[in-house]
Amino acid sequence: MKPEIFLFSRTPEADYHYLIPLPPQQSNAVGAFLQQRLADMQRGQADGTVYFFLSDTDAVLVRAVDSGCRDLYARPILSLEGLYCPMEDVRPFWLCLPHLVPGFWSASSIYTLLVKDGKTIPLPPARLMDACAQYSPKNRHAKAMERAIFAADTPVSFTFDADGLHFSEQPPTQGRTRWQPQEPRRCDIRLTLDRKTKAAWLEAVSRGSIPYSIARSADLAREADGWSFSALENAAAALEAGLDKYGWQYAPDKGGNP
Amino acid sequence: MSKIIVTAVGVSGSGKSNAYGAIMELLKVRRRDSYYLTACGATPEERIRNSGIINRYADINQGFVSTGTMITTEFPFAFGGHFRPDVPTYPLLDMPLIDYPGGVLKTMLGEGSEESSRLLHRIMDTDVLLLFADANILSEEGGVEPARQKIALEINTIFEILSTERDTAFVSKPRTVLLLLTKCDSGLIPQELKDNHFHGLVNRALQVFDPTVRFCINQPGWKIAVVPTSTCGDGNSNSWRDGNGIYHSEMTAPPQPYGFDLAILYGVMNELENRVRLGYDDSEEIPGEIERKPGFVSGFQWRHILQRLSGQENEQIELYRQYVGNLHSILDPLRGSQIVEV
Repeated sequence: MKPEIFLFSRTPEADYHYLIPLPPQQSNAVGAFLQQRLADMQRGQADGTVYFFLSDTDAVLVRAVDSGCRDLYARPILSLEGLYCPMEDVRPFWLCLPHLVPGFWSASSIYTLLVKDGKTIPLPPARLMDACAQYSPKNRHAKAMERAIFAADTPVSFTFDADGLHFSEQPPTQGRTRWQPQEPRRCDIRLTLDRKTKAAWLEAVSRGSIPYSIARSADLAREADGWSFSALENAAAALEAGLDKYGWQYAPDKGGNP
Repeated sequence: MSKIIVTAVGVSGSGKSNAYGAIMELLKVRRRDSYYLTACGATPEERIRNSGIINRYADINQGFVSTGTMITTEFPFAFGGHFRPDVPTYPLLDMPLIDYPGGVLKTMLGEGSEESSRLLHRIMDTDVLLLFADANILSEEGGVEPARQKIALEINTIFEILSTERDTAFVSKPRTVLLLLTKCDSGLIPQELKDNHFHGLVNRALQVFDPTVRFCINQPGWKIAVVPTSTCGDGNSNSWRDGNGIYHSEMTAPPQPYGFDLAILYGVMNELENRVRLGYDDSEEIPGEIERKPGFVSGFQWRHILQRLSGQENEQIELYRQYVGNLHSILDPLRGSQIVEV
């Protein structure tokens, strides 16, 4: 997992700017979201509320706080700080959040860790995340958050403050009540042969009374004497390899897990 | 509506954001001599919305506590006056004001950014330029040179470059430059600088901004004036400097800002005077070149259109003249004390 730290703040000498900028591949949605947070910070809203914002291609975990330092006119230095995560790592990042967010919310600003004598010093994101995990309290807010996040099939945006977790929309759980995040969910792979269109495809579907589709392979054309077995097998292997990123696995010998 | 561009230029911490708060307080709420700022916009809905945006910002500035400026904000203002019953109550000019982090000036001299180039272009277009000088820093013991390094280096450099441009657009248009001495309520200013309407402090500011001031004096049609200002008001604040050279200040009484409204009115007065003298008006409603299309209007109609257009223009210029006359009657008695012309 490769989240990256970013920090918008000032030093006593240099005015407000990104002291540690976001990586250049950040999406416009994330840029606009952070601009909105900056506008809120300008209006004096720097209460440390943690925002998790998910766009189509990336995600940020961010909060605006008072850094505890003062500039040359004794004005408090505010800091907008957080972690940026590219799309390929969003799912593991999402599963870390229950351990990360409560600690990130209750810890003091990371400004003092990152800025020394007007210069930024590099800090590995893993160290920040470990520190936050240590800070995360074991209370019922944290428990509720863990349950809600681990039960969600796909990440959604949320805020976290003194009242706990507020999802921007109800995260989809597809009727599940319990799910172990360490263990990917098991699914079936179905083969469909369509004699009318002369096409075959493989589809990964959930187990249970009402199976729903998770992933689907490309159509395989029928050859003169039927579909070749090896082509079907290759397609199944490719489909199986791709299941991992959705949090599923194909293990026919193990039976289903809810 | 015609537009007047007012730009504030000052380094970080020189008091720009608080100045905007004070300008809103003085001209939107208290309305000096019936001159006012209001929200502008094409429709009443837009104006009401803009007014809400401005008020929200002014609310934050209540008590003039600022944490510094992080992002650029534009205030969609319109300026007007209803000093006589026969003058229209609606605003005369659009006057958008922009607040931005003062560190942009430093960026302009350093690596540069999109924001800094936008500010530079605004400075080049501006009709009224407000330069900010922190009175605390002007009155430090070191004298002129350290203060110049701290607050005037960027501004002087910008003027030096703009004055030697090959393209003379910047210097050929008459402009008004106002040097605002902010934080004049501070107890850290020595008495000899404060005496005689801040005579000593004004002189020090002129020395600190020397290249800029000299440039403005030498330009025909340019005006430069110094205005002592404060957002708290004299005796309403407590300022001190700690061992690390950090300035602290706290407000001890409700704010009584002064000076900022005079600066705006003075700038508007000079700009309108220029417009009357040179007979131009930058409103976009009257096209610069109008061409008659014979198929569409008859000769009679065409004469009527021309008459109406020139009448409108004359009306606007006549209104400018009335404003200038009234502003002179307000500001002339304050010259030498609250506005120091150079």
